[in-house]
Amino acid sequence: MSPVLPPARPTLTRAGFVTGARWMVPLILPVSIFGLAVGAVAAQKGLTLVELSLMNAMVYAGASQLVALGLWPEQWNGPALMAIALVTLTVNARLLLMSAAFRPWFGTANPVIAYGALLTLTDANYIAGQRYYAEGGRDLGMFIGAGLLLWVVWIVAPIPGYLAGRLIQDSRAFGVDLVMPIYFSAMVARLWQGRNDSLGWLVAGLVGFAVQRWQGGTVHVVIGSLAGMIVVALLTPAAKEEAGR
Amino acid sequence: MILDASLWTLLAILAMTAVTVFVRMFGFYLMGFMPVGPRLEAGFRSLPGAVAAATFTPLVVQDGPSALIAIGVAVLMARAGKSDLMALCVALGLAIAIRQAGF
Repeated sequence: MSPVLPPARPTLTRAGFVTGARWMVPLILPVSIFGLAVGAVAAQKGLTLVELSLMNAMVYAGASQLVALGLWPEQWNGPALMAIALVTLTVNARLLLMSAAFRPWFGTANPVIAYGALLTLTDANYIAGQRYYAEGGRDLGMFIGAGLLLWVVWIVAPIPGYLAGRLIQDSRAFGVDLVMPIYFSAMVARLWQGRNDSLGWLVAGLVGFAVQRWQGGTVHVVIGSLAGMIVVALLTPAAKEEAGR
Repeated sequence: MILDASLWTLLAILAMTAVTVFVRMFGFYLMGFMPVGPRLEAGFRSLPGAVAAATFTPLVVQDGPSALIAIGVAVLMARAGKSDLMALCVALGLAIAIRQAGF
């Protein structure tokens, strides 16, 4: 055992796990209700309970699951599978940026632990983790504990939603099909940062609409959102200066 | 029957898992080599909204007033600082009322 370790090496303690789990307690109720919605939509789309629970445990990315389930095909084939994967990739692409933001904190840790911790990355422990790090916290257990607590919530909460969803006969009259669009729209409305986003999202909507008219299926989500992202990127000055925001 | 699992659905879940694990790890991996510029960062940050616009515009056009009003109300409530949950409850209630009224 060498006593000489890099000073910045992050720790991994049980106390850290508890700290992280505590950070997530206020989110248990909202995440549960979001989970109920995912369960109800999954029932509407004909998934079995095992399939739903596997998806919750393995994918663990609620917004992408709701969007993918909204576009879930009735008939499967290779292209339909690709489309679902692409849609999931598009909705979750923000996690790429979030994981990049953990380089300073996790970069000096054992890579197995660093990458293992990133398996639990969601919007919730990204935001909490970045705040914890900014306040001087370095315990990897905090990030993992936060991620694991919500992971358990995310597996359990959709089950009652699923069972209730199977009982609803006329799902349209009860607005089940609108749960995902409403919730997702409210969440992204918070991310709006100015004129560039307005223009980019307008382009995304128009391109998405046009491609859907022309092609059908799900490819309009990918093409439309990439068009919007490119517009925002091009409107952003390449230098670090603040402009147009 | 609610305990069955079909091969295609399992494949879809595996594919969703693979791409999600990839994005969870790849940004961290890349940052070992290269920084993300302000353009790419702004683009990534705007991506969820672009996904929503591209997904829901065709849906709203097809579905009509209930979807449009529900999404509009939810967006306004979120911008006004109400919780996502409250926005969902109010907007969904409105949509159900509009639909029960026969639109």
